[in-house]
Amino acid sequence: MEGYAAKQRRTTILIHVILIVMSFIMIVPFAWMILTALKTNQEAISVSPFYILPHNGWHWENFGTVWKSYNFLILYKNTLLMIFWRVVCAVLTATMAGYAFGRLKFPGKNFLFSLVLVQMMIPAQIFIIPQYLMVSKMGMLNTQFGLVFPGLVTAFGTYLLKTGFEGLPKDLEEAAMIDGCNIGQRFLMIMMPLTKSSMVSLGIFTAVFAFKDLMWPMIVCTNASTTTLSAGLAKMQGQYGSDYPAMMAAATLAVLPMIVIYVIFQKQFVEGIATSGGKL
Amino acid sequence: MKRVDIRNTMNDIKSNTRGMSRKERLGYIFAYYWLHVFGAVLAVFFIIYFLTHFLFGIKENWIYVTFTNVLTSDEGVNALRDDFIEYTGYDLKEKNVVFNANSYFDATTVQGTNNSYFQAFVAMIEAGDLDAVIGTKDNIAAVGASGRLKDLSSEEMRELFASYSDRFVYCTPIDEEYSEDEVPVGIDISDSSIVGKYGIYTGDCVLGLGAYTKHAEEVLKFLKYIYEDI
Repeated sequence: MEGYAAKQRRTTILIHVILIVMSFIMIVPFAWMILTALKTNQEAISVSPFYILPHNGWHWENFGTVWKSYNFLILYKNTLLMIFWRVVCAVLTATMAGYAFGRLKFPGKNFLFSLVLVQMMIPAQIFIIPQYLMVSKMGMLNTQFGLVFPGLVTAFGTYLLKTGFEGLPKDLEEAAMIDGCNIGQRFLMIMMPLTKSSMVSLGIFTAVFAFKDLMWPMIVCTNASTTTLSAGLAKMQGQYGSDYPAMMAAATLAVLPMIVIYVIFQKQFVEGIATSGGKL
Repeated sequence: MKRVDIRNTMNDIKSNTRGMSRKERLGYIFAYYWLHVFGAVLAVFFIIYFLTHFLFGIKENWIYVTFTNVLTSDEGVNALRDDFIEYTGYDLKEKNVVFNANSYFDATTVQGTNNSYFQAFVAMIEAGDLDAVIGTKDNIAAVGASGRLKDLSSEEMRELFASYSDRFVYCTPIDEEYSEDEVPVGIDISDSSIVGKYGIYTGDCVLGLGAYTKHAEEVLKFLKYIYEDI
């Protein structure tokens, strides 16, 4: 019995050591980013990277410099609005399409769903030019809609929600039909609330990918007043290419909204990843 | 299957709210039909938003110029844009003038093109929106070799840019079927105001025309401007 307890303790210790090492690996780049943002440029490039703390005082003014150079409030606003609309549109369209593919019977259903799957197999870059032309011809360049456009529908979301709806028992829907619910009521009142976890997963995926999206904002938003944090940060990388503290200060300011969102929705993030089995 | 009928729904609301005050009626509608109201408001908002942009949005450019690998602030590029607009008298209510200095890549190496900047740049060229690209000689020659810049010796370009033929920058196309000889894909503008007055580049500097540009004449105007305004 004692042998078993000792073995279990050893296993627990080993698991904790692995977790601590993994946490350390995850945290170090963030710590390095924040601490470099507080150094002088000379310190950032000349001192060994193993001396992680600033030697010549904490230079908070680096944040002020980049804040003044770029209107971060506008970048935050554009990014958060883009994330909000992409999440709303993706969840809305994917839920409806997922319900149709997962629960309804209609001619050409399998063919149409195979078209959705094909879209998942093609690299996203293929769609960039037609999407750009559509946005351009609609006169939507440098607008919030232009930013949201590629996220209006999602093949991955449709697939995720279809799987979610398929997993629900048929009896629920049949009971609702007997009670006189029409198709809209069955979808809205009965089925949709039961796929909440899939919807949350999709929302999280969409939010993270929208936040990380760099190429599309760079193409459709050439004005500083309409661009997003990722594209703004890319511009800073060009402008402050050799000024590492300024770049790191900008990067720290840029990740703040995502950290805040994560802190608020931490439970849903973890549940969402567990539900979809994906990694962000 | 029961069908959703707007007329029946309206009649239901009317009969169920008979005798109610306005406040009570609004409360009733909101309690039972909040989703419908929300959907309708959203639909109206989107229709107005789309119509406004579709009817009144600016859809075309006078000229779109990309400045690659600009490692200074945007000030020089913005000043050049403002002065060029003043020089040409372009009406910005009609079309846009885009000077994009947010593009960083090295087309001379495979690694240098493996980034979002280059993908965005290629997308702009393929979409036919990018009229001119400015960068170092090696970079422009490498972009030209991949067939993404206009061949300045082609029939449509030859006459237009004849006066700049002594400044042509050549490259050998990767596509051997197109040509095995060197073709001109850029114009050396190292002695223009882009380097001098505006200080956007410090060393050599070459201008190429996007392979699918529809505004070659506007690019010609731009070339004239950067040499008149030294």
